[in-house]
Amino acid sequence: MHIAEGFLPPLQCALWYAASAPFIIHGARAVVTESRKNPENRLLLAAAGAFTFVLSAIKLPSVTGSSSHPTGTGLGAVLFKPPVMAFLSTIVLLFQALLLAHGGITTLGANVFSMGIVGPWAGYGVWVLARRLGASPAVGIFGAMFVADLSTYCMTSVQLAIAYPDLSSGFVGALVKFLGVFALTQIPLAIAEGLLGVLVLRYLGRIARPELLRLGVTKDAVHA
Amino acid sequence: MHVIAVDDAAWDSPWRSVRVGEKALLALGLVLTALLTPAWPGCVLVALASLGLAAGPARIDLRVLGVSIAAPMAFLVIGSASVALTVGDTVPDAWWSWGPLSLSAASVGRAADLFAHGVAGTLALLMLAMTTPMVDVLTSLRRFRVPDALIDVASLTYRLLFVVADTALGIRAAQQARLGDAAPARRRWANTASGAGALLVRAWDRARRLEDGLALRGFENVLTTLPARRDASVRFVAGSLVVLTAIWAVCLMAITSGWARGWAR
Repeated sequence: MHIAEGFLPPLQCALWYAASAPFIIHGARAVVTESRKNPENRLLLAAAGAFTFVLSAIKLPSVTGSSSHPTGTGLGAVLFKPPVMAFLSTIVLLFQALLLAHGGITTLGANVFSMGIVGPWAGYGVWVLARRLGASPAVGIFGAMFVADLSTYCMTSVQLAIAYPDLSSGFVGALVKFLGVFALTQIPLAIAEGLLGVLVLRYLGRIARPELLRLGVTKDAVHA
Repeated sequence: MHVIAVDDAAWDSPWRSVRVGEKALLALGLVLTALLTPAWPGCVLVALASLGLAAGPARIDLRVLGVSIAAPMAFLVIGSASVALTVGDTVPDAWWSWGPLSLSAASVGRAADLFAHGVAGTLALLMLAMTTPMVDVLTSLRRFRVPDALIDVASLTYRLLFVVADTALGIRAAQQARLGDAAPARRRWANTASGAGALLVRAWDRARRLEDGLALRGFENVLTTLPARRDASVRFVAGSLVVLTAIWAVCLMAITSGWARGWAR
């Protein structure tokens, strides 16, 4: 769920754009370098962007009978690395704003910061840590997708709490409120997204091992 | 599919022939007005202007507009309700309280303002989205000297989006035809995962085939396409400025005479 158009004060919109800009520029430079080196990679990156967009629209089967959607940034960060995800997420969020009215133009900087920077970097950090500690790819991808999903919504809650501190208890009270609404309710969905990641990685290990090796996701076959 | 409905509306819009910059002037002008003016009358006027322009000259199907605004409305309702609820010591003029939670005129008024800003901003943005195909937006970025490689990736993402979305629908239909939805929960999870995995593999495969096709046609560097030539419309720009100026004039009058409600940001 992205922060809608018109929801953040103008000054904070500008500040979140400024905070996101270095990461987006870094990601864009990585994409330009990669495209000059291997022009065919433009298509693979575009496919990754389209996949991230569509993945966020896939409904997860839920134990309660309702459905929800994964953010997809954890899987993207593990497969394509966080700098590229910062740029791809910017494109995806721009498309979501202009094709679906999810998010907005003035809130794009804030949404990129939570979904394109904090989520992928946190998820990727967990993946790297888990693999260095000798955990299996299944544990690594579960942790990466769980943390990427949850940290995205925690960051959204922080952004909203900064914008609208509680009239009685200030920033802390507002953070508790927004975390309760946006992050606490997200825990089952983050677990679901983690489980989906385990199954997807196992499936990819079976049918797309060369691609996983080329992307450096694993050095051997994935037995998730 | 919802994404195609918005894009179809943009391609069919009579404003397709208007320059992107001119439409952006109107839509982003309305977005900024919704952001900066008081909820009453600023946001109300922006919402009315957006709806009037959408139903009138832009000839946007209001049913598609209604479906498109449903998702952001969910965020706006939940977000505004969270702002309306106060946590901590009960405020003196509370309407209702229960433990640490309370509702007051100030908190509800603040939430209502926020909701108005969100609805007006979203309607203004949708007016741009439903009159301007994404391909026009991306082409116009070349004028701002955005590197070609970045525009190429964005343009190709846009084109692959529909192929990948179509593939996802195909995979889903095949799984449903095999009674995938009637399977036990564990099997449904495996179906969802194999669907997502297959989607990624097929997206890569499609990208490779598209790359081969482009390389065979000599597109090995920049994928520049000829932009459609559109004449500047003085009438459109003048009309946009009249609408924006009128809203700002009413807002300034409301602020100076004291009947404006909500905060100007």
